[in-house]
Amino acid sequence: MNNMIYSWQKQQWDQLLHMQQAKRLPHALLLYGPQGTGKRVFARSLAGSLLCQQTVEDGSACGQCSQCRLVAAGTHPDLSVLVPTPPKDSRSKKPVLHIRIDAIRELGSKLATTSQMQGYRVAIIETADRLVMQAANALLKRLEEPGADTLIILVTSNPHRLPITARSRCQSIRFNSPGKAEALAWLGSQGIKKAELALNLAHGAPLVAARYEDEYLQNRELLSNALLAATRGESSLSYAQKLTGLPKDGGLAWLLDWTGDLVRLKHGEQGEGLVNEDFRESLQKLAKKADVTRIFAFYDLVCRTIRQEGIALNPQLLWENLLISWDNL
Amino acid sequence: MKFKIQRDELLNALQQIIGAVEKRQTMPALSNVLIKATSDSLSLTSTDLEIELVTHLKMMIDEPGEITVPARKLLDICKALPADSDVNISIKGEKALVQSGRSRFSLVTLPAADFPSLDEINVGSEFELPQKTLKDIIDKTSFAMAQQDVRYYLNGLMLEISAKILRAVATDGHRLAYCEKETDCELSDIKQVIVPRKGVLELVRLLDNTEEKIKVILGSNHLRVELDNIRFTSKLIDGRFPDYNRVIPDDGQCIMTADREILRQALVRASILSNEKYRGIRLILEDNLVKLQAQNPDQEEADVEIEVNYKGESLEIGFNVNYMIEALNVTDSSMVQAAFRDSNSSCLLTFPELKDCKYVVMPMRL
Repeated sequence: MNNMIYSWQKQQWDQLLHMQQAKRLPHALLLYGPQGTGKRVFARSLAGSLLCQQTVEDGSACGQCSQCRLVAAGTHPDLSVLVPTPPKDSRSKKPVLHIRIDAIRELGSKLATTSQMQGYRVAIIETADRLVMQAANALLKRLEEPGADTLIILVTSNPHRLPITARSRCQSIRFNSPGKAEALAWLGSQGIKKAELALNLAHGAPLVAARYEDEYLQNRELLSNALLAATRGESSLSYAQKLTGLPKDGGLAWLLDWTGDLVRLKHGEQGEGLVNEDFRESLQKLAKKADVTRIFAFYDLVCRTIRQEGIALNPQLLWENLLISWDNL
Repeated sequence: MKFKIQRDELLNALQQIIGAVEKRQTMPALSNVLIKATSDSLSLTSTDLEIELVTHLKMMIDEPGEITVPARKLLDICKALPADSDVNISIKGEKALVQSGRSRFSLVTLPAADFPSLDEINVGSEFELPQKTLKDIIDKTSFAMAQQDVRYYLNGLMLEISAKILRAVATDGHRLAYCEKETDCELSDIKQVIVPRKGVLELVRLLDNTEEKIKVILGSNHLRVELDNIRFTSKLIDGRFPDYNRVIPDDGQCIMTADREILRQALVRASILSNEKYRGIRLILEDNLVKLQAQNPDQEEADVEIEVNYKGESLEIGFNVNYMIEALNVTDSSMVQAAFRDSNSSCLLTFPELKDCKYVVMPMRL
């Protein structure tokens, strides 16, 4: 796991390998791009490669040497990985995750000492957009001027949420979703059923699509039942309570996709590139009676609701509110 | 792996290395101790990723091997076993079996390859010196190290080795401690390292006041000290230590000599009524007399006078009393000499009987 990259990341890999061979590797990297394109795996592989004693031909870690063993066991002394954590004494079931200043300070004092294994020192900050402001500020000094043979890798799918001061200190490397054919081939090799539908729903991000298993599709059916209630002459409101159980990264994001599909259908008989291609007919029925201005107003409403996600709102009321608006499109 | 060891021997070895076992336990492997058994020796290793301690025992091993087991639990078991008993340690499947008399314990293990132990280090320079020399030089300077300063290079002790001289310097920006010792090391160039605070405190715990020679290795990334049966390795601070020579004043015109113990006691007395946060104290020098004045926010005042050896203009200067007391605490010399220039310049404390150490204390505006 620590020495593979995805086939669509080859260009970025070669670029960094080239820099490393020329001894011009920057001290800070910002890996950014849509969610689900394998940036974190790439960061780990890059770290593994820098720490490995005998990299193989394409520059990736061998996975055999003592350094690679330590990386795999998560005990390598010169590799730090920071991930967002809940507040220290939080009892909430869904705590807000952040990268806090204590973690950054600890990283700072670690990077202030020489490397234990006498090689590279690597720090990976995953989901770097979750850095709290103070932590980001505390990081700046280290980010600007780490010691020799140090690499700090920030990984994020929302680079604009990072403070500009942090962004400007890193060399940015963009990761795109692979082409459809490549993504489908990879999903096929992972044994994903209904790969095309899943990839559609994931907006082309293969790693997101790979997570779309049966449970996900059941959830989606629940949402589609609710949204298409009108076409069966029912009210969607009765589904509100069931919808509260939808996962955090689903639910509202999918609703946004459905609304987007309505807009697409409104703007041309064909409606190219529907996300929910399999519900085309029902969507067409809905689109016919809906009003474009109201669809856009609804789109805004969903966006607003997504932004409020961190706030503790009664989920059932939230869904009822959305469904009433949906029925009145 | 299988071997038999005396309980006291094992307990002793574990107690020597337990200091490096991580208390916060961010990584499970770090709360473990690495046990390595080769055909004729046993070694125990502990690390917190900043310092590493390895202890060696010469003994017969039934079956060589290596494994890591929870350090504190093993230590607690050893402590609880009766003295003079024998302990058998072996591996069975995923567990380590500890057996002594009719007590049996089975401990969880982690593979030895997952343990971040450090074998070879890049050797920069290497020299030998008596244990007590190193202990002395650290004792005389380490109190002045900064604690969690943002200037990370101050959070440690600077060790510098040049031809025949080993220097240690510590400073927190308000005071500085300097000490030098002669060694028989033949080095042509100067080599400087900064040892992190934690490493210094752990190292001094291992050292004794004996003439026994120890080996010190300064690597590019590590300091390693090899004692009789224990090996200490610490990472270094990756930074540049400030130029201490420019901090030590050499132009103090007003020179006062006093009995160290009398001056120290006077400072301690006066400090009782100094401000608890800033610890400010006023020192007034007159002919053969020092007046110490302290005042706290409750308007309580202390006034202490002692006789000293001083000829010259009278001078008034403020100090953090703790810095003075700490500098006077570390030696047992009978006399102390303080050199002042004016009330805005730092003061240099030296000891006529000890040529090797100097302390600089910055003044304080009161």
